[in-house]
Amino acid sequence: MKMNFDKAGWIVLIVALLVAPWIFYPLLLVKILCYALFASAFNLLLGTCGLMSFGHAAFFGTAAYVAGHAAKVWGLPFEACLAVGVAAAAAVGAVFGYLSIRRQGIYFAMITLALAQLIYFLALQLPFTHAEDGLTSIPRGKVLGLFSLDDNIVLYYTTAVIFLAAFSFIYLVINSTFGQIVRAIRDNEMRAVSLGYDVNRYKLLAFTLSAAIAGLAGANKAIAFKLATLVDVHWTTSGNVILMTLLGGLGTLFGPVAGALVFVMLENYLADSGLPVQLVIGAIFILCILLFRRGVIGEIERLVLRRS
Amino acid sequence: MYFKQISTAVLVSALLAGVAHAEIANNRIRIGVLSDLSGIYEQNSGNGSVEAVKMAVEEFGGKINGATVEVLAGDHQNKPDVGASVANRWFDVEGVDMVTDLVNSAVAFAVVDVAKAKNKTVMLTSAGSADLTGKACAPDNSVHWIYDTYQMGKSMGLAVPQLGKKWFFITADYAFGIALEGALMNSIKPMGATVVGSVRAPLGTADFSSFVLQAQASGADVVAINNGGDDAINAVKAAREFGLQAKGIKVVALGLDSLPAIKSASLDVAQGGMYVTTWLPDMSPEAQAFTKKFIERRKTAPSTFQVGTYSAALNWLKAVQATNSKDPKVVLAWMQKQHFKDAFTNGGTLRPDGRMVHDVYLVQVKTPAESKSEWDMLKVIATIPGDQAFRPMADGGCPALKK
Repeated sequence: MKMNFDKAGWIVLIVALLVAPWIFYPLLLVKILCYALFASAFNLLLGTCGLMSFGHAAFFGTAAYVAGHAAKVWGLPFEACLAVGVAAAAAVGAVFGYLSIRRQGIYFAMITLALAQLIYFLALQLPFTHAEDGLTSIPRGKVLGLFSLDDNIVLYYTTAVIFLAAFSFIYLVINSTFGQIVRAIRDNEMRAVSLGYDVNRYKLLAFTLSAAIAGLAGANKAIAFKLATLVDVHWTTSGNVILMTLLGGLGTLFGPVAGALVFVMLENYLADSGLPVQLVIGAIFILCILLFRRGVIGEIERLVLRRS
Repeated sequence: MYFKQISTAVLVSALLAGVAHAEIANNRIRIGVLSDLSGIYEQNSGNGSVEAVKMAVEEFGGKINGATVEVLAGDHQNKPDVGASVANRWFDVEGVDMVTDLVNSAVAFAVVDVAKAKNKTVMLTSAGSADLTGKACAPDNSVHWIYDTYQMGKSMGLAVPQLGKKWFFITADYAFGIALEGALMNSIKPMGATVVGSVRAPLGTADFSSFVLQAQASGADVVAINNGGDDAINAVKAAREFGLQAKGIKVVALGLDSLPAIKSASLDVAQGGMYVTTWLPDMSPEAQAFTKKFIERRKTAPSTFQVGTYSAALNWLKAVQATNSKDPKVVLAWMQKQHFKDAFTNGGTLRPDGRMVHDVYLVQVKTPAESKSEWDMLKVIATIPGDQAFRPMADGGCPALKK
């Protein structure tokens, strides 16, 4: 049944990705996809591995700055910009992971937060980030050297392909032997150790993978929106990605995507509604926690599975 | 929704093709006020700016050459990527022609970039960075109306004779504050002033007592508080509580430069403070009339940013009316030939780099005894001509003008 639910989810996702730009504003969808990938990367760590990171903005933002700088100053092609962004995020992730996985629970969260704040203050002071002004006028370039990304539809489908590839990769990771071991560590670390697994190595790999995919999302966002700013590395972005994941459904495959969809739509459409944005999002979050703790997708999954 | 907009646009253009004479596209003019509607800059711009733009639109009866004028309001939440997303959507989907306010320079840079790519107009009012008419200029698409960091520093330098020679800085630890401090130091030093010390306070600091004590211990005769919004109020309160002015130290609050801000700090706290402003209610009959009308609607006096946003929108609309066009190049070219005379400026002019040049004033906050009415809070110490206060165009290094 669970397999069927996931299969239905994939079909809905792919159909939605294909038709969405004809119904909604493509650039908004690009933003949703970037945050959906970011939240999925976060979910890979928290949902599968049980590690609650409070510093994921560091990877998202580092990749955004590095990819932006690569495109604007070094003049690298689009694909190379994404690659250096991901590499930078993975490198930062490996260091952060190495330092933080030795602790658990709140200590782990606090270490990741503290390290992410270091990145924030670096971004505030390093000259290439342009501090408070942000890195702007990043050229979008061409995909595969052929199609200009300045066309919103081209940009959308490129982002959709990147998203789908990375999302499938996450799916494969979760369902691989590696994914099973990581889940075993999440559920009972002592037992995993007694079975002979080098727990820290698995955790570090999961952490680095999550950071790299978060970096891909950040790099893609920086180039799509032609800017990388302090908001990308600020702790509120780390908080927002937790919110998206919980809103959609922690530990479910499609939950983070749904969470990012709801969050970005709210942030965008509430902006010119006259309502106080943060207040409304906060209220929705509280309601969500009180009424459906499994998140949007988590609750739907529960209902479908119970009925059958 | 997107589809519907496109089909409407196609339908409208098909209808228009049948009409022989030129009309304003879509028979609709849309102004987007993109501001901080819920955060720390709300008081100085925010919803007051939205109201000010509506007042400008009402002066035309809501219609220009038969086209309806509409005002949209957006909250960028001080996030550049939210600002850029909203601006993109406004330009592409909602058919917005001009975006104004843009308090927060980071958001302004992002939105100017978007407007340049889509050939729309940006009337920058509450944004401060001098780079907006310097290395990040967009002279075909953007106008910088009220102030900038260079002008703030320069005008203060010109006021050194009235203030004092030994300066201490309490500066907000972000790009705007640091840029302003740099500009200030450069402008006061040639006037014979020295800097005896400076500290950086993080954005959102509530307790300024340690910074104020350092300032007091430095032996300075001028303490420049170089931040904005609520931070400025907190810092001036701290300076008052430690009795700096009573000890003969002049307090210059660069961010406490609006009537609502002084009011919420109260005259008791803010009295004697000096600052440079681009506007005050008593400078002209138009300004007095606007202030009165604004108070009726908002129950508070307008800030400089709000009056400036009104003026920017008003003059943009006048230009659209005169040229019967919304094309940024056509509209801005017309504006460059004008002398603006309204509630905000007595004869300001627009330069080719997008800088609107106008007189600025060194003012002092009145004591409670001097104040005759609720909003009577300022006296002019000196008037500084616009061409001395603003950076000369040649020094800005605007790349687009060199071509």
